Amino acid sequence: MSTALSYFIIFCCVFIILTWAAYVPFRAGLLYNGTVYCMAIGGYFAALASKTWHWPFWVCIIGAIVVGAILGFIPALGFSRTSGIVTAVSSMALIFIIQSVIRNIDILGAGRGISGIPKIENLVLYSLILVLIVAVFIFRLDHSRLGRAFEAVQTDPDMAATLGVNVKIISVLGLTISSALGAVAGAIYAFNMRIIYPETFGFSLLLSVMTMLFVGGRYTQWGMFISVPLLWGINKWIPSSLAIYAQIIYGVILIVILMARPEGLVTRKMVAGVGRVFVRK
Amino acid sequence: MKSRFKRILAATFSMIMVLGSLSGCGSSGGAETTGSGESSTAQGELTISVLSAITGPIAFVGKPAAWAAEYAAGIINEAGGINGKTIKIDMHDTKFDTAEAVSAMSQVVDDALVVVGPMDAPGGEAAGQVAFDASVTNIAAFSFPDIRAQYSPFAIAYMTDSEEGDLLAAKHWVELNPDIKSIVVFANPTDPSQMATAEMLESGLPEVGVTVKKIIEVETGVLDAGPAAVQAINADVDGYYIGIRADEAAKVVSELRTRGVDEGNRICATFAAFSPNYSDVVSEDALNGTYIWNKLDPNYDGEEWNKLVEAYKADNEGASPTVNPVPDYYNALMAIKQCFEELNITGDPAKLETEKAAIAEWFYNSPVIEGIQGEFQWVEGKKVAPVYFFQFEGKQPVAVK
Repeated sequence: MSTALSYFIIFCCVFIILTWAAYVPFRAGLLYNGTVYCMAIGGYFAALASKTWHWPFWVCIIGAIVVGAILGFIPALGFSRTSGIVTAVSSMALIFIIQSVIRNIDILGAGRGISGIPKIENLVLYSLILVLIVAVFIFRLDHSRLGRAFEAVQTDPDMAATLGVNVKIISVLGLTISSALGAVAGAIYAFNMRIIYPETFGFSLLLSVMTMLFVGGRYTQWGMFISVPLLWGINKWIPSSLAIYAQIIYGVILIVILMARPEGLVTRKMVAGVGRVFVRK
Repeated sequence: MKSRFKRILAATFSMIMVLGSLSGCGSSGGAETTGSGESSTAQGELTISVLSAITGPIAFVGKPAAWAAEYAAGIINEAGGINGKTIKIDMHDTKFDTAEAVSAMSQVVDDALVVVGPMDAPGGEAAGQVAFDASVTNIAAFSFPDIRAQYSPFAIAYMTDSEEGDLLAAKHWVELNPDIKSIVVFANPTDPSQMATAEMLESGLPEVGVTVKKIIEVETGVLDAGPAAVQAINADVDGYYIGIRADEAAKVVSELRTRGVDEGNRICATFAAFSPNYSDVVSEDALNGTYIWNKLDPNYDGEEWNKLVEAYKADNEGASPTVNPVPDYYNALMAIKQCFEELNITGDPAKLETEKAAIAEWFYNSPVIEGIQGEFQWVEGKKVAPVYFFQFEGKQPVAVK
């Protein structure tokens, strides 16, 4: 496999999991911008654990999930009291906080970041396995009682409460799951880049993730398989002479898709249609 | 039967979509890009991959660098190419983003003999790892000695070490102005290189009897530099070292001068401010008397340089090249030509590994090379070349010996 292809697949895996991290709270009606914060936590944890403590890959991933979930749970307690635009804006603050904290902690490399993260053989395979695991997890979640509770909260929190759904717990759970998934994405990212900086985890990344979510389709988990390779790969698809216009093409795709298909490229109806084709009657 | 056919059709279509997507990101990237290996040999052409931040926040440096690489390729081709082969630049935009830099490097590294860029330190560190894994010589922004050591012998700095240049310039500045005994340093906390510079000044200037009283943080894109200027003035110091990029440096100097720093000689700026984004923005009165250093001399008098300046002006609406990646990227391409000719590099894919190793050895401790602004050399990957110190007379930087 060429170097370009392996990096492309791993980056796509990172962004697919990260977009799922934004998708889960959205299912519970929360536009959560803390996914990048969780990615930073996972990335730095994995970098530190592998480089300093020499933990193996899978232990680093599990550690990142645990740390990401814990550090995502704490702000989730506060965000569960908010909704809509308030959650979106207030969760953005987490990006400022995590960047400032990292820049001031020497063990995390401060402004220079952490370099020399050990190389993981078979990272492509491991990344694909993680995508598969997370895909199955989210599929099961979406089709579980909990998933229906998420949907009820998204549709109408007051109605959900009258039906016996504890809206606060659902919100905290959604944000905590999101944090854990963000941490997984961060850990893979760190192993792929083998160097990690606080600046990586900024608004530009958040914008990319949200674009991937909205272009792919925010009402199903499958849209990311289209939007992530499409948007991350723009530079690779277009001729090199047009590469400097990549940002413009990116913006045009976003505008056209959101105007023509507000639900995104992949809708629930489409997923149901495809499902009917594959499932034997 | 019908539903089975539909299932097979859907599965086949899905498979084609996936394979189509994956094949599109093969080793050479976009449809028109060319790897430097097999295709280049077949066409009697050598492709040199160049990575630069053509878009994004440092495009004002990245675009001139990309221009310089294309210009150098044109000059080389006019003179008969390298070993009889014309060279072609395969340009990639890193957008001042580490992930984009790694992605761009991954697209070119499999077939490359040598890669020029990324031009920024974070991008260089991140993408340098990919080049190192592929044993490809990478002439990029390796401004930290520890990173060069980590990726040796493949990490070659395209420019001289900025931190050393800053210390040298600051010492020269206080030597010319002996009443300066304490200073503040402006630095961007998100730029590791600038923070390293600030720390180097803190530890190095006491040798000449000067103390750094405070490091004042100025972030990229700051709209109002007033608070930073007030902090500096309140520190009650004799001098102000501006260690930040042109856009922010212009704002800080304007604010300092407006708020009571009357003597221009109390201000010295780093090479990263040496651009029209600095000198065109700051008023003539505010700029007058201030110092600045650079890795190039825009007034250098040499046939090759003068020719480049004319070509640059013709392609850039009369603007002069003032940013150091212009001569540095040009020199990198010319050094590649010299290396390939001395080692008789063929670009033959069968000899790729041997030739890559020979190129790395040549660059790591290079012979003295005649550059576009005088001689330079790489010693253990570090570029050794002269730096230039100026004092503004009005808007004009005048060399200070």
